[in-house]
Amino acid sequence: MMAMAEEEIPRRQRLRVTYRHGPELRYVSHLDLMRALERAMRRARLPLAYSQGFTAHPRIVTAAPLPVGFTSEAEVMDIWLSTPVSPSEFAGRLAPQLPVGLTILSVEDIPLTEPALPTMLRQARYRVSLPAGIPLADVRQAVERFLSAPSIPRPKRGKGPGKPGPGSYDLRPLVVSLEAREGESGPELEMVLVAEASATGRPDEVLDALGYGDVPAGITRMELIFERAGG
Amino acid sequence: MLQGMRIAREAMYVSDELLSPILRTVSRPARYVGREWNARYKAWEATSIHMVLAYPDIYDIGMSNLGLQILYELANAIPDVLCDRVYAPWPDMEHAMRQHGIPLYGLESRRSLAQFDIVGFSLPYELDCTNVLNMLDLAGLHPLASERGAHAPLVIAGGSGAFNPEPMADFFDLIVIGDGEEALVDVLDAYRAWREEAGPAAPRHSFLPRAAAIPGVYVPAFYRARYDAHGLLVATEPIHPAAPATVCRRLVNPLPPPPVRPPVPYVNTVHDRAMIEIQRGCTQGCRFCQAGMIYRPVRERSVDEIVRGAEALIANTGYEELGLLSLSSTDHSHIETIVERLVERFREQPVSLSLPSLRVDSFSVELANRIQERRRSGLTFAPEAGSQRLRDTINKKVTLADLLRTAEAAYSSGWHRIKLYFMIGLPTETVEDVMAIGDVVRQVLAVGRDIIGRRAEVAVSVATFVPKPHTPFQWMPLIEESKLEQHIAALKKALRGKGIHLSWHEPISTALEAAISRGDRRLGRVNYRAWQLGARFDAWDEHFQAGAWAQAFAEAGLTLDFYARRPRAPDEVLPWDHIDAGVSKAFLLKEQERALRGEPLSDCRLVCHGCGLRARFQLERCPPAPHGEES
Repeated sequence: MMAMAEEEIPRRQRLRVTYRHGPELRYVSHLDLMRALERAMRRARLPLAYSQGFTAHPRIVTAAPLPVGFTSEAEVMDIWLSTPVSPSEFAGRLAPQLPVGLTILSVEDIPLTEPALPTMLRQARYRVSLPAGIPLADVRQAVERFLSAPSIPRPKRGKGPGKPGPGSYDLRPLVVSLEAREGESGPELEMVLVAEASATGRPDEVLDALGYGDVPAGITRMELIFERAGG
Repeated sequence: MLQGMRIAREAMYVSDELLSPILRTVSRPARYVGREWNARYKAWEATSIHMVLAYPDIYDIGMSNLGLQILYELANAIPDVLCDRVYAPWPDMEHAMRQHGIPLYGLESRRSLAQFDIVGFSLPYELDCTNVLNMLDLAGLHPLASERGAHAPLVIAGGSGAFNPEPMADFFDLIVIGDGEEALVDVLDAYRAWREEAGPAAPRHSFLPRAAAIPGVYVPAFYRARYDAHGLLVATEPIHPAAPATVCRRLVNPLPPPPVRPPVPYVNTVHDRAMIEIQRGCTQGCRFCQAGMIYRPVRERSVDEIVRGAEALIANTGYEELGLLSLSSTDHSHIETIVERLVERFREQPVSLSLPSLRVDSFSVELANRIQERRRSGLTFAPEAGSQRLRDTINKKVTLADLLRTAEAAYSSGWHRIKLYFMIGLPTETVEDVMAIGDVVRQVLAVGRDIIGRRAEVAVSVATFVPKPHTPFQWMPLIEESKLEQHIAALKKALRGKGIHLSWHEPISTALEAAISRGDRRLGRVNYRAWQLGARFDAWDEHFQAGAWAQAFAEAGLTLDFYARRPRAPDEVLPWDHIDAGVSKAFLLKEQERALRGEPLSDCRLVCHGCGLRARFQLERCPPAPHGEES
């Protein structure tokens, strides 16, 4: 007789997976990528811990969703398994099931009791490549102006691109560091932005505030910076 | 005007760099990138036949099309064939492509469609026509077959919409009628032989006589339609020695192994799940149903083949849901065993099973219970008509007692909601029949209330009946506007009340669907003109351009009512008479007569009613013996 209460399959292990979301899958949204990863794990017959609620879903928690159009060198998510699997076995079984554009960089065993991943997130580092035609000197000037401004009010985003929401916010305090330099194929911006539940800086907002909102830019999240777990 | 931005027909590789300025600006850009798990990549230079399967609607819909999955897997299994895919771009993407001069391209190869040898369109639905024309134009190909150059790709079609190919006759070089699995291979074999013998410089039309010789292949250019002074069709006759007087559909028996490695989409598509066809065809003989007529006879897959196929599918895709597809799943002789074995096999993974198309009986409820341990959305049944008289007329073999017993079984096993499908505008329908829908629904709800009180719900979904070719109702007119309004008003009144949810949506394109589905070759001009005037995505209400169609009909000197609302005489020559679906016209006429007398006809698994199939395909047994071992 099926139990009707919301039982969960016991979660025996927590693994932290760092992966690369490459340019081949740049236009796959965060949610879609999560589903693709889940399916890859199912193909690999990895013992995901499923909830037994109305619709069974595996327990996967990501640090921060990646906006569509961005790539990432280091996305992080925690996965719970119902049967312990060593990190190397996990990586070894999953790798052949991953489509081009998705690469596992590391798998780490994490104590079950550690706080939730999103609550540990503090900052994110982005690299933005601008088209070759823009002179580096101009970009540097724009950066200087930005950094010396005491505040940079911006309209809040509404639902959907280009639609303003109600109210405004100050972008300046969300930018921890910002520098321009010559990259491989044109000027590059490297920035560290605040990334917390209460406030998140977006690199496309910074670009727009610098005056490059309409320029075709390649945005890559290079690193997620977490508060170190106690001890 | 968008139409004016011509797409150049050069060989182009559509790289990520070329696409990226556009993809930032369109909705759901991942649809145009491909790279899905299981997408097949073959070397262009190493393959000698380059084909692209084209679906005339958006990716979200096309990806769930089983026919395309079957052909994609089958064609790519042939070593020297490269088979790519393309779907209709949504208007925002189309606009951006035209602005940037980007031609329609295959998802895997990223090559412009014009570089392929064969472009194969699936025709699932009558209102996809303008999308076909638009895709050809976006590929830099002229929509009219007669205007395409001698070295343009061969443009072919197949699918359920091909059973009346005439409104599309001007656009395709050849059309495959019936089961595509063997027919497509025959076409590819003939193509290969032609290329070898005639050489790479041979003009496209020199292939057509070979194509016409392939059973099931219809070459429209080899036929001419003649009309009399009243505009009625006199004949569609061959004008080429290679063309047979009638083209008989292909029947594949037994069904070849099912596809087990379909591309898995990133974006959420309409039926985002693994699918396995447990049988093709149906023996119920509902008179309104074209699929039931054109997919005869029923061919079951064995339990072992289904279970093996399901295992491979799940292992290859990682899908969390598996759909067991057929026109009437509970009719499969071994459905219980299939369900038992699959439930057992996938208990741990977990994979949820879905079994659509349930017959109205408690057996179906038992099966549904075994499959869906959690009572999610509700159970769906299709009584189709409210009164027994009308159900007998349309040959839907469901009694009120069946329905109430089924409802009782459902509500007693934990289901809260029952969904019922009905049609409106059926032949001989009266207001009383429509009000009977209300009685039926209220009685079902009462059963639910008795068992689970006020939580019981009935959802009613109603669609307008459109008469289709190759069915006993192919001579019937579409219901008149005023009568439809009257019946809908009566229905809404009859279904008022707590616990009853009516979903009635009349697409504004219904009359057009009715006209094109039973149209003749003259509609080619109308389709083409409507497309030129901007019509596309006609099945989508927000895009349907009534004005373009009205103008197109007017310019052609034709009326929509001539095709949609004119009752056809039994001896009238029909535009699809030269296409033989295996079911004889005499049988269909007899069925129409029985319908008008309100006489149902039994399931033909029990006794053969002589529809013509056995003679046409020399079947000793019908349905043919199930394939392989059973367990």
